[in-house]
Amino acid sequence: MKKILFCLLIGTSFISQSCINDNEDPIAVPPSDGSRVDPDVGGATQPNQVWFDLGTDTEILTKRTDWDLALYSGNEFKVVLNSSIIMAAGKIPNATNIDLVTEASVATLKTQVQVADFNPSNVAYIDDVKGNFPSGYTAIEDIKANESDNAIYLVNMGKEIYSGTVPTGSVATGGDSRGWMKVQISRTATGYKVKYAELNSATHKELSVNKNTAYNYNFVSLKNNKEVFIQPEKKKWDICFTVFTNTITGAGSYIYADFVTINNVGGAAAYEIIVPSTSSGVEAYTNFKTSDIDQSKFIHDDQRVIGANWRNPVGTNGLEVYGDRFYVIKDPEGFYFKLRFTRLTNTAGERGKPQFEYKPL
Amino acid sequence: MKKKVLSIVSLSAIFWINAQEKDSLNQKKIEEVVITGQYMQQSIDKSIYKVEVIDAQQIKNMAVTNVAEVLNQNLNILIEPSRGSGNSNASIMGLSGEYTKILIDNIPVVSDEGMGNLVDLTKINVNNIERIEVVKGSMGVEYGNNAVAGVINIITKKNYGKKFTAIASLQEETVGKDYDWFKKGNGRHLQSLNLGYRINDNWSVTADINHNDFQGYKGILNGYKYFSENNDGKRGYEWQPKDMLTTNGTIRYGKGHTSFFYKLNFLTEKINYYNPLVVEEYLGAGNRTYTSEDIDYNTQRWIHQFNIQTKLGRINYNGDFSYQTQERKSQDYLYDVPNRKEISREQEITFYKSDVLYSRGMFSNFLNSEKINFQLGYELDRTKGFADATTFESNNNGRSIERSIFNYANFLSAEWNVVDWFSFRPGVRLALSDRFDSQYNYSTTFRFKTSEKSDIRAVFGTANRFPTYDELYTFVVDNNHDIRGNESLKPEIGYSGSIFWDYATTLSNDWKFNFSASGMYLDVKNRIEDVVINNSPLQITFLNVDNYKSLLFGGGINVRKGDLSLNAGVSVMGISQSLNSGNISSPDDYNFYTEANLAANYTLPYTKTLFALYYKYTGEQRKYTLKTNAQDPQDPGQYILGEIGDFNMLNFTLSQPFFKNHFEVSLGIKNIFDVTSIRNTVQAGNSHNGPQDQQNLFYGRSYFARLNYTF
Repeated sequence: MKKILFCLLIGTSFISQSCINDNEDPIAVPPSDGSRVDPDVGGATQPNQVWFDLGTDTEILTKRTDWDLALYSGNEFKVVLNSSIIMAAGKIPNATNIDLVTEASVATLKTQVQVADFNPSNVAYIDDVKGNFPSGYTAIEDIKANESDNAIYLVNMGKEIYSGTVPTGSVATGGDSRGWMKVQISRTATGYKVKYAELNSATHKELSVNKNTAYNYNFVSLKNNKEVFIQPEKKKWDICFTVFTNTITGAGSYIYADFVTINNVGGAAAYEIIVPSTSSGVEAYTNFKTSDIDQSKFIHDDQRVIGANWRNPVGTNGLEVYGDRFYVIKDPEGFYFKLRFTRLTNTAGERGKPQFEYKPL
Repeated sequence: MKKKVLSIVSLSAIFWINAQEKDSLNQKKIEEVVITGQYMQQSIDKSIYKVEVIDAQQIKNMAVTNVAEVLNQNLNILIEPSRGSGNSNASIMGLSGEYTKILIDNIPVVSDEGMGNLVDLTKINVNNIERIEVVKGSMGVEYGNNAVAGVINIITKKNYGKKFTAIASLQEETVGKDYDWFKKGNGRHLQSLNLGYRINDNWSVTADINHNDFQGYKGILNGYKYFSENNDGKRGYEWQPKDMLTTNGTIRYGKGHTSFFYKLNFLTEKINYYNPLVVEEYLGAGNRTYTSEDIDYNTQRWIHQFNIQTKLGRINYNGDFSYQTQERKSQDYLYDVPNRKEISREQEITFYKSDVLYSRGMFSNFLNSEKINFQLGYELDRTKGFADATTFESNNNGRSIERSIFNYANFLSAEWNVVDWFSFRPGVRLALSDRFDSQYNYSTTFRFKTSEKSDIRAVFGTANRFPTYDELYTFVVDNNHDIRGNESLKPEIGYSGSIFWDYATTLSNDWKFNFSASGMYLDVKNRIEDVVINNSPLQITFLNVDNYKSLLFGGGINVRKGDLSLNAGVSVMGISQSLNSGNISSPDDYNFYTEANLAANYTLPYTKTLFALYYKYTGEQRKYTLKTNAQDPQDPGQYILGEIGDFNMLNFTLSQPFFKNHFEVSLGIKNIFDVTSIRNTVQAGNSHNGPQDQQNLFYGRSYFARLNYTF
């Protein structure tokens, strides 16, 4: 017995021999000289929309649920839904009096005015995802001069910001339903009049707003019964971090977190450069100069140039910021910037903590 | 009758000892004993089941490092490594790990998700193995749930022939082309020590300790030090580094009709997962570095087993009592790649945990008749399981799983020796569980001794497969998705029928021949599959919808003369699957493929040099697989014939003993054809990523040297 214990002891000692270390040889990483920005998207529930101005390095924060409708301030009369809270709208057929619309009269329509239900025809109930307004399609038709020509819409108010806890590395783009409303919008001499109510209400409320041309839109919150200020003035922001209702061909609408839009309505434009896998995206970014700008590549009519293209949250290796691409942005004032994304999470792995680097050209 | 039992007991004791003696290089003719599916261990020729045996000598000749490598040589068994978890499961007859029951010393082994199923075969070391028994076909009556495709029973050594035995061994192995005796990150290093001591005629003890240090296989990746500004996903390893230490201790008593043993097994394993992706971290003032979120997985396993075989009056009793736990912990840490240092380490969390109390008792010989014998048995287990949310797809919305399940079964069988040349054994099991409805399993085996030299066996059996955690508890629900497990799933049911013919003859000049031929049919009903139950909104859940059928025809030959032995086999298997996606279903025609193997051993009479060669061919397989259109999620897709490429495995070992067999040096090459990944277009993807079309099965050609010392 003693022999055995002795041998085991010897055995353990020779078995634990191979704790060998490699020669650790640190490698220097060349520094970068651009500005670093950690936009305050607010973590895994992504509660904020971050409006960022590259020229002045300033960010304005608003909560995604602060507004419901955006009313175009230019010559046209257009209404845009808040896609960051997954809203949708559908015309209630044959309805002329908003107070007569009831829960029961829109029961069938409710099953159709849905987002991200993998029904390709649901794109009719959201706005043009390119955001090319005023010309793009909107779920609520252009507001007509004659008040009675404007239909009553069933509005899916989307989702509240998720209030539970989200596992590290995951993201929750929406929580409880914000319910439904019936809405009818018409023109006034200086702007818009919004009639709205809960579905079963026999009376309705009204909001009137005057177009403010310093901004792209006037924003209203039907939940809070007032006009609200959301976007900075139209020349004072370039990119926006937001949750976004996009489309997937064949599957209809689909919700994206970590989405980045550009201020194309205000006059911003951008394009994406993807370098071949044999060369370095960061090096290409560093070496990119004003003379490399290719005017013909700028995209003016799509707010999704950056979109979700900069990251892959569902790859087989987990969350990934693509290292092979960067963006060239022209702001509404005509200045040029190069921009690349560096992070999707903070060091603790929490989503909704992006980081990017940019430099004026 | 008493005499008979006594003689069986003493006979098997002799066999046990004899089986040890086979370890020494003199290859006497010894009758093999088996335990799988038997009332008491007995000669393989008398076994009513067809048992394939791989003995210690063969395992040694292969110079394998774990059970997974041993079984890869067998026909219709394929060990499939999973890159993420580092586990390797056995796929038998085309059915994955959850259809095979893995036993050590005749009782199921604890695993990540419970007991006996989805057991990681790389976690079972080979140094203390006496033999491995494989029975193909459903064995629910004997072994309960998950013994659908078959049973793998690993029998450990519990005593040695000599008063004192000590065997030490060192093995160094390349991993692909990578090897370094000293430097981190290259090769495989194994050390082991086995000890046996016979205290007196009745008591003996054995102990062993094994260290298996696998430094990872890079393959197309570049190791843990690599990073790229491009974040090209080329960091890390195709096979993650893995360091495993196993120890066993057994104390055994045997006297008269009674023998018992207590065995303790402890395993600790560390897998280092290196993330292929790096993240840029800004340090301020233009300085930056690149970090990776790496994970250490630490597994600890304890197995306690007490087995007793004795007589209660005239009744034979064979009882097992076992307590087993396995806990896999994971620990995330942030590694600064260019600076080669760890930045921060998260707390260790439990990833998987299983905690099992198990007992089985078998009673036989109630009638004390040579004609008819009954066996009555019970089997019970209480298994507590935990799986962290991160073990599921998309973190399972943060939902971890904790469950407890109690299973109880009674089984009864009768062995009737009708006449000398004909016996049969019907059996039934009633399994009760606090989670699933009660299940019945049946079996009938017939054995015909058609002549002194030949036997025919016909076996029919059923078994159930319990749903896995993923199938029961997945919960991926958000604004875009709705994928849910289904807690009301029923167990799948497998039926198998098979017929075996064996013929053995010895020619006058001492050439010994064994021929065998077999045919098997396996049908698995109520197979569980994830199915689209609603297209808009898209909802997916798991349902019992599919069927699986397979036909297997095999033939084998074994030739021995003196120092030469040759084993060759060939099999043709056809698989028919009816698959359902919820929108469409697949054709269910049979697709056949071929496998063949050859094992040749020869010992030079004068120098005692051993040459051992192992070869296996796996033919190209075709299986239906659902191809969906990534551009159009609304498209229901179609079932097309995917392919799994063919491959050849060839291993060669040369062993030379010295100093009266006290020392032995072995040299060899594994995977001579340098196979790494094979083309596989039938793998499943998940809700975001399409399937991969390559499957990593091996890590290429490797060379090894082993030094063995026997006291």
